Amino acid sequence: MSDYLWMTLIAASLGGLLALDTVVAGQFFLSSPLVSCTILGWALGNPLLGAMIGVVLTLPWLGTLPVGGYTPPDSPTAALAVTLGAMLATSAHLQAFPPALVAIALLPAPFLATSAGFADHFIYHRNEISVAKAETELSNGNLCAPARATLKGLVHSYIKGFLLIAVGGWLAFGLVELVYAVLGDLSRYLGWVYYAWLGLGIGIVIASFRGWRVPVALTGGLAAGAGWVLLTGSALW
Amino acid sequence: MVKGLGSVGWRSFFVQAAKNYRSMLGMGYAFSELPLHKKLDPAEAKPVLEESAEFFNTMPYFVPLTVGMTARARQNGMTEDQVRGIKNTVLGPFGALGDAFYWATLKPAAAMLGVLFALLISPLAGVIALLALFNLFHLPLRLCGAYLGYNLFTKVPGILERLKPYKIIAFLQLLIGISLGLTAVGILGNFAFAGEHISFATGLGAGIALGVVGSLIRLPLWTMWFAMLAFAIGISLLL
Repeated sequence: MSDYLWMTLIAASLGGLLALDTVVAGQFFLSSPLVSCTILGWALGNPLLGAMIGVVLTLPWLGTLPVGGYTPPDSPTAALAVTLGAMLATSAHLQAFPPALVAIALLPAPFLATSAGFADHFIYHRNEISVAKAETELSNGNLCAPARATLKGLVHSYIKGFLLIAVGGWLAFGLVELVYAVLGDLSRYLGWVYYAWLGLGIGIVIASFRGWRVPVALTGGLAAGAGWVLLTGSALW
Repeated sequence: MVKGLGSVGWRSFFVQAAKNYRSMLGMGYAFSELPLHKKLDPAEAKPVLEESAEFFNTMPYFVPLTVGMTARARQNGMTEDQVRGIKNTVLGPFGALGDAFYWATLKPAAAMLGVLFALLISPLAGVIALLALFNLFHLPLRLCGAYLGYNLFTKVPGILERLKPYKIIAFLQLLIGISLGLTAVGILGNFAFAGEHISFATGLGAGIALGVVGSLIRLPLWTMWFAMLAFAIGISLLL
């Protein structure tokens, strides 16, 4: 089997497990893009590239809360798919400028997150059927019914994660290939976009808080950082 | 003490596995509660589990606490209607407190600290900081929640109030703001000292501005995403 196929299988299998943490199993925040993309990057041989993607995709969806019956976009699945795409692209373009390559791979992230959110809707509707069946079994005295319904829900969500990560990863990879074919060397300039999206995430987090505390602390953080830079004459890192 | 309280914690990790729009977490709640009824006669356990599988929706981290409280209520001889009343009474406040504390504050705080550490120290440090801060606040509640709910029972609301969660929320909001400020200065400073990447700093600054303005006027994320892409490509071509 080709390396690309192995990478896809590893990413979809491991990513499917990590994506379960978003809602259906655990919720330990292992599915946070910073964590899951770094782990997936490590599994595929480049944790730094995974972390680069994770840092950008952790921020934009922080303000969307899974409150009540609302199903937010599934950003962890999108982040894992994009990581797979970037990893496949890195194998194909070893000399590429990493921020530029990541920027292109990140392009379909909002679309993938929304699609994965719709898939969650579908699964919740599908679960209604298995839960109704489990309720009938319970009323017939089968006490294992809740465990069976839980297991079915886990399997549905795993399959969703597996498929979306594999398909989304190849979509991101295809985009990188297309952009590199069209722009060639000029694609290096797309490194800009990576930092622009990082800034976009920071801006969205800033705007998602009301009240005085976050703006005041933000100003304090800016002042402390600027003070460090001025006093020591060196960057923070 | 009711047998089986120890397994409620790990079972509650899967409380949302069978989430659906009709009974929400009801079936997951029944799955979490199952070990408490294993010793019962099936005919006795059936109505209890049927009641458990009914509609239930709250912050998932508070499920073990609720299970402990209802187990105590049943042991005190309350009827299933009264147990249902307890569940319906706590689901609103637990949901509101959990959403405000865990989702709206702790999650962004842990994520921002993780991002800052990932940029400042290393990706591994970022991952550890994020997981440590987030899990520190919910794992004890989930693993010991059933015991707490069982032993404290009616004292639970009072104790939650005495813990002053709004003060922790205020502290975490300060942490978010400071992390955001340090992250922005850190990235900009890094570009400034690197010299040749000054245009990337412009991209970052433009992104922050668009993120703030776009969120305030409620632009969808994909609109901001593609606007930023078009802006960055345009400026790149000009430069």
